[in-house]
Amino acid sequence: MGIEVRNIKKVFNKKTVLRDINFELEAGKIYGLLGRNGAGKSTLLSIIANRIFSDSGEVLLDGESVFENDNALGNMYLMSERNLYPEGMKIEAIFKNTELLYGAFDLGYAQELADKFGLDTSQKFGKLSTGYRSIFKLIIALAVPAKYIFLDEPILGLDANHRELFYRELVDNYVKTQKTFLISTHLIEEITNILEHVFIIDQGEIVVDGDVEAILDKAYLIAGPKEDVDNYCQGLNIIGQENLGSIHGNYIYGSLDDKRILPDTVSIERMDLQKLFVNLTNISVKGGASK
Amino acid sequence: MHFNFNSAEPIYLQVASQIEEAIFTKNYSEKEQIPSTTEISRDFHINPATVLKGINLLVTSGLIEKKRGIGMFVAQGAYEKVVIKRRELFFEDKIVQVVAEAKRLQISEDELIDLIKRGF
Amino acid sequence: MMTTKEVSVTTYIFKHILKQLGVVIFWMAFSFIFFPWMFNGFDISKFSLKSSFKDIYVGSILAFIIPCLALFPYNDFKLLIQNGISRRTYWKARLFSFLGLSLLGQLLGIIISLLNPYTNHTWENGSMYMLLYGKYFTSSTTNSFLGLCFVLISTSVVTIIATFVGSFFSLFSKKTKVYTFIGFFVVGIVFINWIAIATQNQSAHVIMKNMGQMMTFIFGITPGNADGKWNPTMPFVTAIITGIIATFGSYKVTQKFKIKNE
Repeated sequence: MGIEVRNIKKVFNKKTVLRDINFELEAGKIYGLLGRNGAGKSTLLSIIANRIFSDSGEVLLDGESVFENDNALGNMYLMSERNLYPEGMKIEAIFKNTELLYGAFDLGYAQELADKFGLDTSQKFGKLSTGYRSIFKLIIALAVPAKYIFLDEPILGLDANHRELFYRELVDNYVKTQKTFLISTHLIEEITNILEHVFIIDQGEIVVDGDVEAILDKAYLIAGPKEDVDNYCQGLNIIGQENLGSIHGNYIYGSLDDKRILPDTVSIERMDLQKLFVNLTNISVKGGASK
Repeated sequence: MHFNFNSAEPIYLQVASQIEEAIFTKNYSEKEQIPSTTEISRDFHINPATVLKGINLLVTSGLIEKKRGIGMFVAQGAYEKVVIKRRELFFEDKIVQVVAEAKRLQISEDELIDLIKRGF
Repeated sequence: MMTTKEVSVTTYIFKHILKQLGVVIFWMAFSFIFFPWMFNGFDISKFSLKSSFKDIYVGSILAFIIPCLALFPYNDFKLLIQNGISRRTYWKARLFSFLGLSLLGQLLGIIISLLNPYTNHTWENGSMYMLLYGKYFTSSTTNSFLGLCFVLISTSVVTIIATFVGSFFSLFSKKTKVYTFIGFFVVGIVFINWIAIATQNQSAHVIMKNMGQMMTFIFGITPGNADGKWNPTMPFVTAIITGIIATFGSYKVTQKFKIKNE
């Protein structure tokens, strides 16, 4: 059970956007799709939801191709940055249409969420601000009966209070429905703890695919005098560097060699997901992710 | 309960230690119900699986009891267990460090004992 | 048979077109009253509802408006793909909706022209078919029945063609669309120009003659048989074949629909 993405490739105007994307989503987990702007996140999600076509590869839901498949497509909802709802339609009318087209929709829940966020459902979609457009689409994403929910930059334009509320409602919804969420974002810090598993996509390739805990277990910052640090890090997968006065830090992704002797002057620290992400996707730095 | 997360430690361990701390400080007294996994994950934006993993650590060590369909409670004698555990860790966690720092500062054993006495 | 999803989508699209059509009809009714009034110098005493509505052919008007509505499929596509609907289902629902509406429109037109108290028109007077082929059979009932069938079939076919053309243009970006329109315009002008000089040009003359014969064949024109006595077989065949091609074409084109970057 779940979604399988196999060998997806996509070229736009001779520029390769997705190289060879492979991953799986198990039912009932919260996934993160992290990547810098232009890394190919939105393109990938659009392909999964069958909005655009890949040049090769396939997407399967419970073993069935999603291509032109009403059942599969009706089991997915992609909240995207691009607005596909008619500008002139009222929010409440869009809720009703969603109910008609998805076959079900929790109108009561949607209204309840709208009240919490302060969204006026008698407004026309086109009249909403960027933030409220995001909120409106998030509400649909939470109230729609689809089992696989893709959120592309869900907190675009949301203020701190609304983001806080969104995270609450997301977790609440997840616990109640056990839906699968794939959240694409380049703003990682706030959402790190919600994610169970992450994919980091860089220049059209998935460079990290793993449980957050396991990934962070392999992410280190080795700090101390430059010479000692470089000595200790020889042969390790260095993904980034940092200097603060005479203190030098090497960011490592991968396992450390336990047999090495750690000099007194050198310390080993942990890296958070944000730091790991920044270092892995920073093109100016040599080295790369271990696969 | 107050969570103040940092990045240095896996989140599930932090969940466990924060609840343990709350038991130790008697914010949660024995037999009292603690917030559910859902409530914790909702309030602190932590994946429910992570919260559950942390809580399961406490269940295994006998600090928390799960009652089916009702919720989770601080086990009887949990406070005592925390105290015992912390006493065991006291030497490794605190004393060793204090002595090491004292040595670096060239504080003698007698001087250190005096300082500790003054601290009491 | 139709799946629940197909029924839902058809319901949605049908209602949606009906709403658009409602707006169009409102404005039409308004202009049918407003213009006669205006040309009578805004003199309410000279205004008569009777003369305003005397010459309205509802069927013909709808036969024009409905295909126009079918020309713009992209917005519905956007909403439907957002709601997890496949292109095939979208295509099917759209085709059914427009066909249904087109048929209803014609039936409505016929009923109105029969009931219209302000005029003694019967619906046949507004029918090109009746004019050209309406006296082929000796039985006037057969002629009228075939005329009715032809109206229904031909308006449906025009609607399908509009669906096809609209879908085809939806594949392009706005910029490409503008260039294509300019292209068609230029080609059209050149074509007209070419026809104009064709009479002087020997080889063009032959082509024109062939084209004339083709038209004769397609429309079943029977020389020397004027006054509605042309053979109606060919127009039926032509309409049906065109309809099938356009249906297939619109399906193929819809399969290529994607969300555009604009």
